[in-house]
Amino acid sequence: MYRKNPIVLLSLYLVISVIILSFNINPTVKAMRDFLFYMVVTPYSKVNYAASSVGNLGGNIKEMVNSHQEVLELKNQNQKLLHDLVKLKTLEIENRRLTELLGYKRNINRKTVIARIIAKPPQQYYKSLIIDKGSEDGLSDNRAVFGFYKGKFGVVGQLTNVEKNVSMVLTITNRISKVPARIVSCAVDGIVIGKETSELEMIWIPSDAEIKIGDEVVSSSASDIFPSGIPIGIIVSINQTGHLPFKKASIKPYIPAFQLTDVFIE
Amino acid sequence: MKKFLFYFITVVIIIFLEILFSKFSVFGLFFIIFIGLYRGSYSGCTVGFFIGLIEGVFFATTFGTLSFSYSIIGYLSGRIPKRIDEENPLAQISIVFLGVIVSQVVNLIIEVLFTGIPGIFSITWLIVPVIISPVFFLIFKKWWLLWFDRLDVDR
Repeated sequence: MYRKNPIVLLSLYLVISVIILSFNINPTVKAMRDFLFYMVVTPYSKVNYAASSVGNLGGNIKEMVNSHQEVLELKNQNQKLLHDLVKLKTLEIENRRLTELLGYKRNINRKTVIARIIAKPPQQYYKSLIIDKGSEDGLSDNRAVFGFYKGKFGVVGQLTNVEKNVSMVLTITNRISKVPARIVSCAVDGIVIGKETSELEMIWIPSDAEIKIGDEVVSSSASDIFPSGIPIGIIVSINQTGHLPFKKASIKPYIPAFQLTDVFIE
Repeated sequence: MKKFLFYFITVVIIIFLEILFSKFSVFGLFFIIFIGLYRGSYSGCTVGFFIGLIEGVFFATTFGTLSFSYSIIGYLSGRIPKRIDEENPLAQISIVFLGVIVSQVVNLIIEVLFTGIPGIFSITWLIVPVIISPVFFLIFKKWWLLWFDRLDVDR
């Protein structure tokens, strides 16, 4: 019937459409639409994403290679900058030290020579140092050597074995070193001798001398080598020497010779 | 059964393509006109009704509008006089153009009648698809012949 009279079929479809329109089922349809779109579009978007990712593969590889090169360049640059930074820090320390030395040199004898320590043999830590100045710089044996450490000036030792361009400094911590010294607080004289340790020993202190820990010890006028009044160290302990009328004191030197980079020679 | 399967698969493909190319969702309308033109009013309005229903779920503002208009388009396509050569691309373009106009007008009227909100009449975006509609007709024809031996014009 329908095949012969398609108008009947059309009428049926139109009536159904009108009924659908009359019932206004749009909210239900909208929910269904959302669901169907989700079902259709989500896989498609994933496929599309995968396809576009594959399409961008060449570009991505190129970008990756470029990034890698950039990273390498930046690493090199970083390395160079780190190197420069270390160099700058070293220069800064050197500059500070030289400024301190310069500031100090203004207050000392014009004839004072500044020498750089070029060798500190580990086994000789408390015995000697090698400096870069010698007889050509006007140095000679038995000249007093001083040091400057953390804002303190003090005795380091004396020159021995002066050669043309280098000299050896016999430090006051050496066993054979003997420096006439004075305890400032009570003006008592004695002899400071080395023990080849980080401490010195002051002997021949009268047993009734009123000394105490923390008293400053300086070079005395009895010395032919050292000018009087140059700081040596401070008393850290006092020992009575048996039945003799003398006592001895352990002294912490102001200047740790093995931590110096430069010395002053008068 | 084979015909039912053909229509089912075709409609699924058309809906899928319309979702993908939503800016040019005219494949359904072209297929309805094609079926109406080659298979007659009976097939045209049936295919139009069902495609309209399905498209209505996906695209229509008011559900039922497209089933109404597409049924009419399918029916009218099948009523085109036999003297018009359906193989002529110009004739195809003209028929499709008229079909688009009718569809838009019917949709507008239905929208106003049932919702009171007048829609927008716009066919400028359809110009390019309408011009290349013979290509779609060729594809539909090949697709049909892939399934069936003959495409009898039944008007």
